Amino acid sequence: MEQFGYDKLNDVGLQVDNEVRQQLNESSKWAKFISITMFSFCGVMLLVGVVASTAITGVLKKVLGYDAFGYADTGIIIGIILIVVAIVAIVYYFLYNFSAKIKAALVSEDNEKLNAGISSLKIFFIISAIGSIITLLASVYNLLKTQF
Amino acid sequence: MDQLEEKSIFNLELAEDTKTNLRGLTQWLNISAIVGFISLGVTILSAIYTLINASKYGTTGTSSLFSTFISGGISLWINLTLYNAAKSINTGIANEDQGVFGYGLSRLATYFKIIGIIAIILLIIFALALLIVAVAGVAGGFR
Repeated sequence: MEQFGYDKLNDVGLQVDNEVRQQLNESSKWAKFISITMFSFCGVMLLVGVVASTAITGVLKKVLGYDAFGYADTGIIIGIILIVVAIVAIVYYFLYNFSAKIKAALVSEDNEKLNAGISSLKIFFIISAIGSIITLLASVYNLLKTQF
Repeated sequence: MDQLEEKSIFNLELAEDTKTNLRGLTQWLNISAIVGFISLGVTILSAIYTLINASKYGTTGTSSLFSTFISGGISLWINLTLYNAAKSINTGIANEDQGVFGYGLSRLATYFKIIGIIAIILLIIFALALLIVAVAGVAGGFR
């Protein structure tokens, strides 16, 4: 008798129902905001780096007490800023991509776009996690160096 | 918003490769959260050493302790949210449990919301700092 009571709807797998749709939409909106904020921050850093590179070099010379980079110091400072800005922009491009593709997937009900969006988020978290591990190792090294 | 949320009762079903991608994502969410917890531990340890050193020189280091306490609390909250998101999404996929899966995604949305709000606060502080520097510059110019 139990066979007749079996609900066929239980056979349906995981779905993008209204609850999931709402949460993905919320994540997508905030992810877009965060990535645009980071892109703006990169722009400001680049501007400040180029405009104030001579001043930054002067401050570094005062702090370090010697001419750290020799004659090519301003160029090196701009180069370092460019590399940092490029890395940050690439990382947050993946977050922006996640946002755009998830939104498109929800509008067009397209599984491929949903998959591509989740892939972008995965890449974002892979790069972030590797960055965090490197930062963690550096801070552990500093802690050990200063204390022992 | 309404256009996105009010679709037909025939929902988009998650394909197998999407589930595989989500499982991969949860692994990295887990790693990020665990690295965050370890970083928090290192920060606390570092703050304790700073306090011990400060007491040797006769200072208390209360402001440093306070800021570590606040940033540590926020960091714990963010990483717990990320860890819960990873755990619930993974469990939801493994058991085909729509409720747990939805809860995991809601934790992920909360994670992004917290980071977004922190970004707004930092933007306000940055704008205020710029304003103060500009006002100070203009005031200095009139002297």
